[in-house]
Amino acid sequence: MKLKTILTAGAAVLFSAIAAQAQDLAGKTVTIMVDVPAGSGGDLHGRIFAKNLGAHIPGNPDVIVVNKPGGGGATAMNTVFEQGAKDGTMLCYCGLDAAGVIAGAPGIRYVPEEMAHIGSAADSLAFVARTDRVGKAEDLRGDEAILIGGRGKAVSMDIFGNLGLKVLEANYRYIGGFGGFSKIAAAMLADEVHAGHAGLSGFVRFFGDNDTAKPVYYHPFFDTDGAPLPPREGIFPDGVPSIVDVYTELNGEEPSGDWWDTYVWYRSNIMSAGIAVTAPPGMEPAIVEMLQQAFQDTVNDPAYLEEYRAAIGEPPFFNSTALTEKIFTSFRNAPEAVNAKLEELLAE
Amino acid sequence: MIGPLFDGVLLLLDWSTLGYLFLGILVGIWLGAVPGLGGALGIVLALPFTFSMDAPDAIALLLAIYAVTSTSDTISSVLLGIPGTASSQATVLDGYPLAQQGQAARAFGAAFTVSAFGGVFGAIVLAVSLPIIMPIILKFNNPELFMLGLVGLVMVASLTGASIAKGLIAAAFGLLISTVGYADDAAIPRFWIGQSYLLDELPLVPVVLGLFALPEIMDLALRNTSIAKGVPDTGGFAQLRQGIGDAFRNWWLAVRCSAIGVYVGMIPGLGGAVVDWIAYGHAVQSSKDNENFGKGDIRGVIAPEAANNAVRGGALIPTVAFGIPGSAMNALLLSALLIQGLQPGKAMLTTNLDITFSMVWAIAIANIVAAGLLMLWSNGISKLAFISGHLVVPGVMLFILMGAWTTNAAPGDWITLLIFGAIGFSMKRGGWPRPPVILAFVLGGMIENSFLLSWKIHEGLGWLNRPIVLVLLAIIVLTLGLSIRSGFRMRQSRQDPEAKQSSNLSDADADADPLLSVAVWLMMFAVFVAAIWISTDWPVLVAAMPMLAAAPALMLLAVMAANGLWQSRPLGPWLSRHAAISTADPINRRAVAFFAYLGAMLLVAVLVGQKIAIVAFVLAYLVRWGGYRGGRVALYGLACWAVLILFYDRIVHIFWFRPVLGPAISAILPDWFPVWLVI
Repeated sequence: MKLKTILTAGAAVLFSAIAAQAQDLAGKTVTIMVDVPAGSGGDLHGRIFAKNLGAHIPGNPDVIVVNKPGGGGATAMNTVFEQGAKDGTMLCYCGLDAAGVIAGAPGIRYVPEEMAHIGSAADSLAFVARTDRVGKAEDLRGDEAILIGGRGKAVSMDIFGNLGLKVLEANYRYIGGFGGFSKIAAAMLADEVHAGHAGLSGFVRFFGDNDTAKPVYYHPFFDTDGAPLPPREGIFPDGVPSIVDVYTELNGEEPSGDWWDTYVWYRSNIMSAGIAVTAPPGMEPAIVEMLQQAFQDTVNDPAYLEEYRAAIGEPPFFNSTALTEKIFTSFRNAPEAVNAKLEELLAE
Repeated sequence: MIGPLFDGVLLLLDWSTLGYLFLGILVGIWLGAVPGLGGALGIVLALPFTFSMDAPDAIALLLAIYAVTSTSDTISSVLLGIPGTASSQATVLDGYPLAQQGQAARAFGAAFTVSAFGGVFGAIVLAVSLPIIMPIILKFNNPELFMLGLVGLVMVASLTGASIAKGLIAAAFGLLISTVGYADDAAIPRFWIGQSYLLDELPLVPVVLGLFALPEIMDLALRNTSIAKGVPDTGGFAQLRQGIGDAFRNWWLAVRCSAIGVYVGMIPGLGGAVVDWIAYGHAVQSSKDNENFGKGDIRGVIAPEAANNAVRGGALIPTVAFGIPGSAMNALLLSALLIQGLQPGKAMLTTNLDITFSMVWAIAIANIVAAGLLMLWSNGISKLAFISGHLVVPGVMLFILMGAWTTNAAPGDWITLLIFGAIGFSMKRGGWPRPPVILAFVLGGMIENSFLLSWKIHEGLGWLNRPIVLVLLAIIVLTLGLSIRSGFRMRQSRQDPEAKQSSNLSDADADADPLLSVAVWLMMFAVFVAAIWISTDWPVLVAAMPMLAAAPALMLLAVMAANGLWQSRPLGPWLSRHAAISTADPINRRAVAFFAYLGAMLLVAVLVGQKIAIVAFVLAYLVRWGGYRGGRVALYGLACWAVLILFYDRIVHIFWFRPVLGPAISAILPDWFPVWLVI
């Protein structure tokens, strides 16, 4: 009996040693594929992440970044999905285009649910407007339409931002076609348009030192019951309210209704993985777990966070592994009322 | 103002800062000289190293790379007829003919002198303008950008060559291909033929390399000569001095083109890819004696080279003053500033003004040092023009292929390169001007986008009465008027047999094989008809630009056809005669063979990977086309393989194509062998 126990324990130790060796990427090179061109903002995110990831993977492999833009961002995900090595040496640091996947956008061949979900993060988002056009909440419903500069009405950030305006019953006219927030910011400075939907890093980069525009409200995250969560301290300038505060100020009650339900669903499902680290399908669960742990260790590493703050600004909201899995597996399950409202918005 | 200006130079006068500045200059020279690389790549590679640097060191390193790529990109434009970066495309038009005439050193002397001047001019304007420029930039909204794009487009008139119809059709083709990919107005992909590669847009680098680089390098291979066709004498420093003298004699042109560079640079979104064309067009239109442009006029080198260095200083103004980057390179510099804790905006003009001035100094010093170094080396570089073309072709092909591949790292990059290479070769041989294609391609996206936004913001055409729009409209009318007058004079001068030869203004491609000209006509016709056919299903704003490009072009093609049919009647014998001439032409036969080599290389790359395929192409070319044997071939192949491995694989971290036989090759190789050495 004793011998059997010893043999079993020995075998367990041996197997775990072999498994550990399999998860040890010493001497290997991990390639992180980024879906944007070298030099763009997203590229910088990916490079800072890559620079810090290697130290948290067993074996401390070299980590390099490869840019694979194209296909509206789908090319990198397609490549990892179809061709990626399944030994943990290829990851995609890309945005999950959930709206595109649901709509069956051209060029998307990857199936998000089938990929290995390593980690994800959601950007802090705000509605930013010229202070001379939207000085107070009531100005949102003024007689003259606020001109909103946007990327395109089918782009997920703008869908979400416009859902917020619908919730607030704002009087706005949306003008899509600006290439990104840098162009929107330039148009806002020139008073060509009055407002735009911004990620935190975009806002800080273009208006951090400028009084011309300010965040009118921020978009909160929501807990699993749909209740808004407070923002991390210091993310937005002092006194910036949430969309809930603005709605309450305008209507004397908390937000509700179909537009609100759609807004909450969209934030929690579509806008929760603006940054997604994925790996090819069919990987060993042990390797996936090892990479998931490495992701969490990296995004909680003070050195990484410090570097991120220096280069880009306040880091995004990093999701837990469980939440990442949930986002990737449930984003298609929109209630019918939500789908109806989204169709209504896109048809405008 | 004087205090921070002085403090700014003191920040640079530190040994480590000067060292980084010099390092940046060397890196920038290399990246500019190799076609397809460019400054953005250098900055992105250097950026992570700057995280832990002091601000002056980081700024010196990055700005040196930023500033000097547009100085060294002249080398391949002049020597090979291949634009080193997108901002030296127009330099090709007169720089390459100068090299062919054995005057490369003269072209370098002029180009490097005005590059230094333009760079310093841009830096000075940056310094002077920063506190006062904001209102001017903010006046350039979408309506003004649209009109500015049109101003650029009317420069086509100066680039059309002998046939204005061909030039306009070529420009329409450029506009049409600029509409490939997702429309700005709706999530509708245009002309993507089911290929995700085409969803975003047709990338600039493979198109430019295909249209310009491949035909020129093929020309070198097919004609079995060196680049310079005269006596093998570089002219040494005497020619260099002559070039410097040319630059000083044309100082007013250099000043005007530098000013164009600065103002084009400071308007976000216009950028370096068009400034050289605009400056070149200005030089042609403002010269009374413009018959030598396109055939080696030194002013055709001075104008774009002054402008493309000055543009850097101009482009930094909105980046530093408002945090609005006008290009990818400026976006990277913006990131570098933020990494150093420097917030663009008021602080850069007040509390951090010394840092801002250190940037001005860095640009100025980098431009002067780079120009000086390149002048020292130019005599040696010029000798390349006299060595056998067969020794130049394989090495340059490596950089063309990899330059295209670095764009998206997708097979589409090579396919685009080859398709546009075939189009460029046919246009060159068929007497169709290629510059209008590129100019319209670069401007097309901006013109369409700014028109669309103007239309939507102002709900119609109410923006046409804005003051700057009216001024730009007047410039357009004036430019067109000058072009028509110039065309009229040209037509009159054609009566003179001597002048007839010089009537192909800026059309350096006057081989004029009639059959290839007809082939280009047919290709254009098919493309425009298909474009109209496809566009009819789209919403008005999505279909507008393709329609506006294709419909008038089809009419011009019809006019050309009617005119051609009239001149070549009876058609049957005309076609038979020219078909016989074209197919018997050894240049055309060798061109087909060259494309067959490239096709074979593509196939080998699919099977065993690019590292093996490119080296195999180099070796096969040297043996079969060059007639070389033995150690020289092996050494050449080894050097090419080393560039692929050491630079593109280990430093740039290119994503290589996954070959079909990759797994089998990996299985054969022993475990200890690094697979990345071969696939």
